[in-house]
Amino acid sequence: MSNSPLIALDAVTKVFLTDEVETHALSGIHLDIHKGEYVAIAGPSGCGKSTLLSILGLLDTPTDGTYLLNGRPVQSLALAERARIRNREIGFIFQSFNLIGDLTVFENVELPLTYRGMPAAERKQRAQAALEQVGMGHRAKHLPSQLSGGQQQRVAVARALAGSPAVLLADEPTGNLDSKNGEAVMNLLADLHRGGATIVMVTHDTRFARHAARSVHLFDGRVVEENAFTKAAESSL
Amino acid sequence: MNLFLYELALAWHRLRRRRLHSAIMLGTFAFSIGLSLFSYSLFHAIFIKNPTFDPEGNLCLIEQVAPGHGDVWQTASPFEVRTWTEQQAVFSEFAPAVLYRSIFLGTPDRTERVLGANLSSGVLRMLGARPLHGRLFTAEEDKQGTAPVILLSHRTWQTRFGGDLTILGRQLLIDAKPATVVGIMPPEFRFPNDQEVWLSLGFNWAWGTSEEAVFDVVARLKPGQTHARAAADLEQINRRISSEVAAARQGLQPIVMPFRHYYLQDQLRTSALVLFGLSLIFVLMSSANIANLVMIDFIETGSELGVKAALGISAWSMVRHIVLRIFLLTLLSAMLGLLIAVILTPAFYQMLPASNLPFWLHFEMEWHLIYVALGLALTATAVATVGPAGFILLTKPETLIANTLTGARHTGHFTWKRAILIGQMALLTILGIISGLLVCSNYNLGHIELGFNPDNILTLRCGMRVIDYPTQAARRAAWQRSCEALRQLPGVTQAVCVREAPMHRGVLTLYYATQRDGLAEGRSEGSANQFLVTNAFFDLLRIPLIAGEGFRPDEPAEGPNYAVITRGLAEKLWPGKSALGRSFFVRVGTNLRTAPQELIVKGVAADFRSGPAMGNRHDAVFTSILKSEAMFYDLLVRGEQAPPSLEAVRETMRQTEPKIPLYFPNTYRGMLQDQLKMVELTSLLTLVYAVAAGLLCLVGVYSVTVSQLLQQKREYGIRLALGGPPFNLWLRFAGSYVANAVVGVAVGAGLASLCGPMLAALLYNVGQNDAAIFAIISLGIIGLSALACLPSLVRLLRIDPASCLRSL
Ligand SMILES: Nc1ncnc2c1ncn2[C@@H]1O[C@H](COP(=O)(O)OP(=O)(O)OP(=O)(O)O)[C@@H](O)[C@H]1O
Ligand SMILES: [Mg+2]
Repeated sequence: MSNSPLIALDAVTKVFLTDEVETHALSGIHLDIHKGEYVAIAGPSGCGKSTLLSILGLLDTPTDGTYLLNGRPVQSLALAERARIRNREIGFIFQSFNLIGDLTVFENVELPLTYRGMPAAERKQRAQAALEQVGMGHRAKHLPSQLSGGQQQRVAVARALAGSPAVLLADEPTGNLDSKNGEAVMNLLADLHRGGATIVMVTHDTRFARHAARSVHLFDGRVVEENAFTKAAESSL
Repeated sequence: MNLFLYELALAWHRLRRRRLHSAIMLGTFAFSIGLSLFSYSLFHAIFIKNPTFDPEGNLCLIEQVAPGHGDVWQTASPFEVRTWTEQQAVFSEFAPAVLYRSIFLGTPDRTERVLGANLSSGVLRMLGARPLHGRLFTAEEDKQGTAPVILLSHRTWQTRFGGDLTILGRQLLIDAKPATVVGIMPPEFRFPNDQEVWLSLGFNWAWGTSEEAVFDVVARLKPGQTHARAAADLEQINRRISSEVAAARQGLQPIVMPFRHYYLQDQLRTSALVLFGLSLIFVLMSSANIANLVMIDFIETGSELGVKAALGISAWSMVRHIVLRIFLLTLLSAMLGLLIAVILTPAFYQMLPASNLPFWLHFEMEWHLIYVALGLALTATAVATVGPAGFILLTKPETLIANTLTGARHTGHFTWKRAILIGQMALLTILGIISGLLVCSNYNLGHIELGFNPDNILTLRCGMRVIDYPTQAARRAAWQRSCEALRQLPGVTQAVCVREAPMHRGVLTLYYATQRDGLAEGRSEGSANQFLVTNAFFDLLRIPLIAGEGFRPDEPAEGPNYAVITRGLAEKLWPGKSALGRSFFVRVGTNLRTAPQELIVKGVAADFRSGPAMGNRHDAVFTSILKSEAMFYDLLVRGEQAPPSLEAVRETMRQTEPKIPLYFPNTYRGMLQDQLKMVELTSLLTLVYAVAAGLLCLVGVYSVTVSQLLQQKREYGIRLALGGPPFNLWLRFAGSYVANAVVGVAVGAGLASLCGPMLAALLYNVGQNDAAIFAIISLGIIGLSALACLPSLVRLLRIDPASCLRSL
């Protein structure tokens, strides 16, 4: 494991201004995440977890502070460049699976790859591989509406994986699922982690937080506690 | 009801939130309504509204045409009128008149030419005329040889006789014959137009032989009869009596037309029809725009439906609320449109040159305009709500609720909206192409090379009376003397008499053929404008003679008839050959009785714009005025730097020929401007339509693309989150719209070319399928729709993927 972190946040602040009311969603966040880590972000509702994840995923820019991704400052890049990095370095998994209803399962998975201008043959092969990896290879031709919630989330994971991103970001990936399906998705993420993937996951279910090697607790926009679970600590060594 | 008020408040709030968008929608809709109401009022006045003198709309005018000369009306002979009156069975009333007569009215201090008409007692009865003072004509006074009696118009009575009632029973000089004033008509009596004096029908001594065909016939159709059946009935009578009429009158076909058509040129009627048609397309298009506004609203508040369904509100009441809301919206803009129409229409009518329109055609704020506005608002409401209402009624409440809970959007409308867009584009293209053709045609009409120089010329109309100048020789000597005297005036370079001045509305028509029998039975090889001139005419108007020579100043009244023709006509008669010395045959004027005349070409003049401003016939034949019987002509006097002063010309004429009255003084430029005004106005109007069409196109595509983008906001949020490059995403999005626009434009262009035959008559120097106009308009509309996609780029860049993904 190299010493320079994959993700380095320094004094990151996010202030929302709505109707002249300032909401300090994040204030002074310091956070390093190394390659191959599995980090859970936990905390009560409204503490800023999703905001943090949006900033990590370059969906939003911090009001203040610096963000180094792979050693490169990315907090103030142009729109198009941010899109490019999102597409190549980041895989998203969301609570509501966010699949495009008009596209088939296969097309959904293939979509981020098309934005890279990847040749069709390679694209197809990668999408198929990602679907096999989450056990959805046999449902490639289906529309999202024809799948169960658990299956949809597995497709969303496949879509995030297909581009071999540097980091997988997941915002409450089990929030819309029953416990059995939730467990399945968690196992899938754990498998991916074992395969070397870097994962940052937001959850407030402590059962699921245990899947992660390290958990970061937020309260009112600040990091209040960090702990590494023994089991995870062993594996990260 | 409370719920409804709440709905209204909500609707108002939403309108205000998208202020710009709503303002654009309401504005364009109000504008289209205004334009439609204007076109409708024109249409109504021309096609539906009955003239004041014909409240039931069943008065007809009867004229005749020779086969093959459909554009030339011929009046009826006394014999024909008598026979028709006895044998016809389709009219309840039937009476002759002479609708236009130019007469000399002698008042105690002077004699002036005024507009008059001969009316029979029957015509006065049909018109429901009531005298203000005195009486009307009696049936006895219809007969030839009875003592001449006249009625005065209210205006003439006031202005010429100071409203003096003792005028009743006094004698005035009409064409130098004494006639008794028996009545004064009320101000609202105007027939057929602004006549100053009406003569009894028996007052016809000036017409020559008693069997001369001079009569227009006014008749009232029996209930249930049609104009066509009436014409057929009269034609049958004509066939029965054909052995008893002169050869030239055999085979004449009676035409029976609603009296209002008498006032309205075909062109005006077609224009009104086209404008009305176009404006209906406008309303449809802006209804579609409103529909899009509704769709945007509907999409943005889609989840509300589920909530309402969950609260147990029935589908019908949801539909009712939507319909009411939209109706209020359209009603608001319809009233705005009404206001626009009420303000702008009178201004437009004011701009129309009065001489080109019947007196009864004017704009009135009529109640039915409100109904029409209401109808248009209802139509728009129906068009706009059919989508959402259909969706609500056809979707189960459970599905609505489920949709709300899962955040699913109603993607099913994509095809529906694209179909609307394609239809809208097609309509636009039709509108654009028709407007484009009309604008081009009007531009051409307004910019035809005159080919002559109308600057510094004073024009006057003058006429001679038989009693003052009984012979042709006397008339000829009189105007030769006048022109000579005028040329002596300081600053005057040339003076001529001509019948008529080029581009005047009264230009004479002749039909020509290269062989004598080419003119038999009303046939001809073409028509041209005829001018009776002297050589000085070419000099005065600076029209060059390009071959041969002009007329001799002492052209003998007898001997062969020479003509100068324009180059274009020479080319038509003898393509590729010299016209000099060749002869051809003409029938002068509209009377088929006159035998064809042989003309020998003596000279060829350059082409110039000779026909009336709205017409497109400019071939001309000049013959010597010395050989004509003309009693009326135009006097043209050219000055060096400016038109000569009217006073100086009047004074000169008073000294040389005091008995020749002068009227209608104008500069040639001024006269041309009057003539061209109609052309300009039509131009202006079509341009307004074309610009409005472009505007609607922009608004239409703008609203469709923005609403589509809003509808797919979530999808675009996901795509952006996955790293889709925003500009490329937009390019693909806009591209699909431009592709739709291309399909719509192609469909529209196809349909527009089907409208061609109807337009052909309105177009000057523009093909009904003019490829350049089709191409420019089509590409223009595609370009505009691409332009209108730009706001969606802004919208796309404003999508915040983070919030899209977070929200359900
Ligand atoms: N776009 C926004 N505009 C204004 N305020 C925002 C916006 N997004 C988030 N906030 C505010 O920032 C704070 C943090 O929100 P965030 O969504 O990050 O919370 P969270 O920890 O993800 O909560 P939850 O567990 O309920 O999802 C909240 O107070 C929220 O109201
Ligand atoms: Mg959250």
